[in-house]
Amino acid sequence: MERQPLFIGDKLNASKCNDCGNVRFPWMDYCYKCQSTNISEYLVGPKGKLMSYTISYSKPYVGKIKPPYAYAVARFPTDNGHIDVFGAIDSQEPFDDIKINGSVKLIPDKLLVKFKMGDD
Amino acid sequence: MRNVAVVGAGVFPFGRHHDLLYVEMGRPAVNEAIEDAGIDRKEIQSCYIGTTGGVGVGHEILYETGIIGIPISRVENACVSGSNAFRLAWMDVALGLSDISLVIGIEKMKDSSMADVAGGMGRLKLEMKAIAKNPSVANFGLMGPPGYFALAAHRHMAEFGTTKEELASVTVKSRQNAHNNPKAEYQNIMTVDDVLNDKMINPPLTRSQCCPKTDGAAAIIIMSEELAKKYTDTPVWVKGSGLTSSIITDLLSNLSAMPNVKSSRTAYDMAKLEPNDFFKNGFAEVHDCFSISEILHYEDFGWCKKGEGPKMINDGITQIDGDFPVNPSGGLLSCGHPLGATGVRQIAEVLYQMRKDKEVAKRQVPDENLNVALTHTMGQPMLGFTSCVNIFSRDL
Ligand SMILES: [Zn+2]
Repeated sequence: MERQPLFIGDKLNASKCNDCGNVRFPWMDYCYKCQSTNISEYLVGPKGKLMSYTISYSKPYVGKIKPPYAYAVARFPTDNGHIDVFGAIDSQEPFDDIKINGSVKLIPDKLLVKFKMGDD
Repeated sequence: MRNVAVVGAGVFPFGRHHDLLYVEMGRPAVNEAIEDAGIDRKEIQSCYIGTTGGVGVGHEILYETGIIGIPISRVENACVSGSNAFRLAWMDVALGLSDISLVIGIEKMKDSSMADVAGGMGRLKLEMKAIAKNPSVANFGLMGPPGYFALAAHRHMAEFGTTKEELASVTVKSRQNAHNNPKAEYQNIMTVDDVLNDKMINPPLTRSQCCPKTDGAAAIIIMSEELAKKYTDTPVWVKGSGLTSSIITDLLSNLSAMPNVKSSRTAYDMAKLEPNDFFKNGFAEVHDCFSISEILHYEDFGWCKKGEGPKMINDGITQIDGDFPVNPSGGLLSCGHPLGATGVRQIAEVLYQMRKDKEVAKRQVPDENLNVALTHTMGQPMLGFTSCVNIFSRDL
């Protein structure tokens, strides 16, 4: 399987199963629900909703983010529902800008999914 | 399948044992279980040991306890290892391959990181070159063990108005019970304020809302119905078991953990019980790895509606003197959580409680609640997500 980038432009590089409609991120060349390999590129975002967050005071296992850092789950609409995506939030102590149910926007990156709060 | 009974148990005190080898914690637990069961150790025909970090220690413990030349299997399934080892031993005896089986759970955690103990660091080393290039995996490197539950806690608060005081109350209940458990790592009484003012780990979870990394061991003896009737008047019967696979990506903002729902349903069906059958009739030892976890389990196991978990705590329903005592031992939050040992310790607690042993006199569950019991562990082996539920009864 070819490695695929996380982002295409400012959108997440997800995939959609043409047989059952399942959308998954990150991209995969098969569908875990129906085992189909009839898969299309499907772009998600860049605007979504913050479902939850927390803050880590120690360094991550992977990546070069300095603690403390915030990470989150954000929800992005698809044409048949939504997908929830995990990633880091671009924010600084005291993290007052982070609001659950608030709008988030994707920040393209090579290794990690990142969000920022707000509509733009 | 044959009926299987739990007949003996031994628990080596959970806590800080820097100077002890695995075998030095495991041997006393096994000897205590053998003595409790009243069997000759030569009658043990198989052994299953749950441990994530204890490579080879099962063989050492068997040798040092004079149990030599029997089949032994090491079971690694993150925090579910002990419950999983028990499940395999139960299957072994139920199938008739062994008449008596020994289950051991053991872990040493104080001197290393969770990722070292659970094998995560080992796997990262083996796979590092591939992972660094593969964004689908790298992203989860952001999240430490409490991360998933911290996210779930904030979402529960936003969706249902759950308060941080309600979360802290889970720890308060845990410590009240552990205060009467000399084998628990933390036995001190805590107030809601004590819990909330503790060091912040991952908001909203403070340190005492996260189970500690602990050293400890537990062992149990199980046997066929025929032998159990010979050895004891107070067997505890295995009535159901469920074990479920998944991966964490499905579960991040969903406040229901599918493996918990599925494992409990499988075990309920096998035991011919429903969630309501535990009220004024049973008790449980659940995987309270974090304060929010216990609340989510109440909901996933069908003991209340989604969002109403905090009410179970507020109304005192799950206290020892409530309608449905949960974690009379103090659970993982206070006993500590030596990964492989936890699931076996929970079953020891069920045996002690149902027999009304002196061991649990000060934390004894009321008579009316001694008919059925449920034990539960869940774990996150790297990107995996798993859950094991076992159900027991006092009468066959
Ligand atoms: Zn499909």
